Amino acid sequence: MSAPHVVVLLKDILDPELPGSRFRIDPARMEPAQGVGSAILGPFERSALELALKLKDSAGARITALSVGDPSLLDGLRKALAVRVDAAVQVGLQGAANQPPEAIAGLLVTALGRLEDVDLVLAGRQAGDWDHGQVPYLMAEALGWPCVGLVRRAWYEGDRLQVLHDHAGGQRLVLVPSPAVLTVTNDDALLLRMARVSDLMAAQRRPIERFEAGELGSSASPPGFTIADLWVPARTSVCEFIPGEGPDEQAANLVGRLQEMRLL
Amino acid sequence: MEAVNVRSQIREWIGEFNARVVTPRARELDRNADPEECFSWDIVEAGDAIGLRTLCLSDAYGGAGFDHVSTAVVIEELGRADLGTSVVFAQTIKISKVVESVGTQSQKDRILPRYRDDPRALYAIGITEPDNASNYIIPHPGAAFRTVARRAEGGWVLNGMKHFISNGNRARFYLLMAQTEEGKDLSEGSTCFMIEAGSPGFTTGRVHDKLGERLANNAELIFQNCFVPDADVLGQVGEGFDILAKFFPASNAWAGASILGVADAAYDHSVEWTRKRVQGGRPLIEHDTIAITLAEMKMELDVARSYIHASCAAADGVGEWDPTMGAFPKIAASKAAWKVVTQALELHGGYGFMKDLYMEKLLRDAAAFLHSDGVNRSLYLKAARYIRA
Repeated sequence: MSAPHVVVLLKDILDPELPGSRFRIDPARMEPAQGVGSAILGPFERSALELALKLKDSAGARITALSVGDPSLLDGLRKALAVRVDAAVQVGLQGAANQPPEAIAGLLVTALGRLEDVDLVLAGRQAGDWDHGQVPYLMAEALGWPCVGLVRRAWYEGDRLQVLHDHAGGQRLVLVPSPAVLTVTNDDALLLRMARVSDLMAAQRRPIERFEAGELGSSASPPGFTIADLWVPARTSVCEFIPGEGPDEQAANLVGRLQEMRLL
Repeated sequence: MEAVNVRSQIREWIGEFNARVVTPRARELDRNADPEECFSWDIVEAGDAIGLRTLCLSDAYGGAGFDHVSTAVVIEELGRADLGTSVVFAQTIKISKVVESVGTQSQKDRILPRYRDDPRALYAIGITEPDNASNYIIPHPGAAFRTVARRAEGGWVLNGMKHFISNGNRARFYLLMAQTEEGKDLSEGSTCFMIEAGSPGFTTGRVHDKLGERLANNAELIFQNCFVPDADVLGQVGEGFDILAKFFPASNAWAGASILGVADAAYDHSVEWTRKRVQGGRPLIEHDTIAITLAEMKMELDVARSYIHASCAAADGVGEWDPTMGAFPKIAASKAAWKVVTQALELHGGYGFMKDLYMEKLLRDAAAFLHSDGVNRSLYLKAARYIRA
C-alpha cells in the first residue's frame, strides 16, 4: 500500500479558558467581540491532529492540515506544522466564524479537490465554540464517502483501515474503506504531542498554501437563518443555609426543601 | 515574523510544558524533606524531549540557536511553574552555550555531541567556595580561589572544594574555576577547566537543604588529586575570568528571568484571588486599595522584564551594551519579585499564611535570588565600579 494521504481539518476558536469576566459580545456583529482573547486550536481538532500523526508514525501517512478561517488566523496551522505535518493549507474567508456549517463544508470539499488524492479526512467531533459537529458529515455526504464518528483509534492493517469508535454506549471496531471521513473524539491516547523547539521555530518559516474562498468557485453563502439576538446568560447565585440540629435533621430538611423546589 | 508573535508562541509552548509536566508535580516534590528527593529526572527528560537542554546551541549540535531574549522568555515561563525547574535548565543552557562560544573545535566536537545525545546531561559551574563568594563578583586583591590546580605532566592536578553549586550532584559536565597562579587574585590567576562526573578524584559531597528552589539541587564539589588534561582547559591558562566574563551577562539576565517567573505566578494568583474573594460586600479587586496594589505589582513585573529583555537584546547585539547590564537585571528582578510576592502574601490574608496554599512555596522561592547569582549588595558595588571608572 502506498503511503495514505490524510487531511486533518483544523479550526481556531476563542480560548475557552478566557475568564468569563473578559468575554464580550459585539452586538452589531452578533459574535464574540474582537480582541477579548486569543484564538487557539480547538480541543477536538488537537485529538484529530494527534491521530493523524499516529498514522504518520505507523503507516508513513502524508499529512495535510486544512483550515477555513480568517486569513490572519494561522495559529492552528502553525501548530500543525510544528508537530511536523507535511503541508498546511488555508482557505481564507473573512467572517468564517459566522458561516453556517453547509458553507464551510462546501468550501472544504472544493479545497479537497485541489489536493492530491486524499485517502482519509480527520476532523474533530465538533468545534469547541459552537459545537455543531455537522461539517464532517456534510462533507462526507457531498463527497459520497463513508463517515464514522467519535473515533478513538485508527490504524492500517495492510491497506485496510481499522477504526475503533464510540457506539451505542460502548465501543465498536469497524473496517472502513478508503476514502473516508472520521470524526475524532477526545481520548487520553490522543493528547497532542508537544513540538520540539527547533520544529516550533521552523514552523514559522514553512509556507502555508492559501486559497481564497472566492477563488475556489465556492463563496460564502447567506446563512439560511439570521441571528435575532446573542447574549451571555446572566447568572445569579443564592446561598441558602439549611437549618437543623445535627446532620440527620439537616438532611431531612434538605430533602424537604428540594421537594418544595420540585427538584426531587 | 514579528518578534512579539514569536515570544507569544514560546510562552504558550512552555505554558503547555508546565501544565503537563511541571505544575502537577512541583508542590509535591518541593515538600520532600530530603533535598535529593525534590529533584526529578522525569522533568529533565521531558524537557529534553522538546529541546530545552540544547536551546541555545547551534544546529550543528542539535540546538535551536535561540537568542538571549527568546531564552529569557523560556526561563521566565519555566519559573512561573517552578523556580527550581527553571534553574536546572537555565544553568545547563547557559553553560553549554559558553562551551560552544569559547571552546576549541576539538573540544566542542568531543563534548557537545555527547551532551546533546544524553537526555539527562546537565551542566554545572563550580565557582563559589566557602571562602570565596562575593570575592569573585568584586575581585579583591589577595583573594584567590582555594581550589587550586598544580601543573603536572600533560595537565593539572586539582585539589579543593566548591559549595552551593547548582546542579552540583546532578550534572554530567562541569566547568570548574581553579587557581593556577600563586600570588595573584582569582580574577587574574585562575583557569577554567572542563570536567566530567565520575572523573577520578572528583566527587560530590553534601546536597544542601535549601529554603526554596528545592526542585534544583545545590551541592558540594570535592577535588582530591583530580587530574585534568591540558585538552580540557577552556580558554587560556590564567584567563579563567575571561570565561566568566562571557558567562556573567547572560547569567545575570537569565537569573532575573527565573525569579521573575515566580513573581508572575504570585501576581496571577493574586488577580484570581482578589476577583473571587468577597469582603466588604464586593470582590477585593473592586476595592481601590487592592486594585492599586495589583497595578503596582504589574508595573514592577513589566519594568523588570523590560530591563531583562533590553539586556538580552544588547547581548544579542541589538542596542548598546552597558557593563551595568551584567549586574542590574538580576537585582531589579529579585527585588521586584520579593516585593510582589510579599504583596501577594498580604493580599491573600490569613489564607496566604497557611501551608496548604501556594503562597508559602512562592515566598520561599522568592527569597532565593536575593543572593543567588551574586548577592545584590555585591552586584551594586560591581556596577558602582563601572560608574566610578
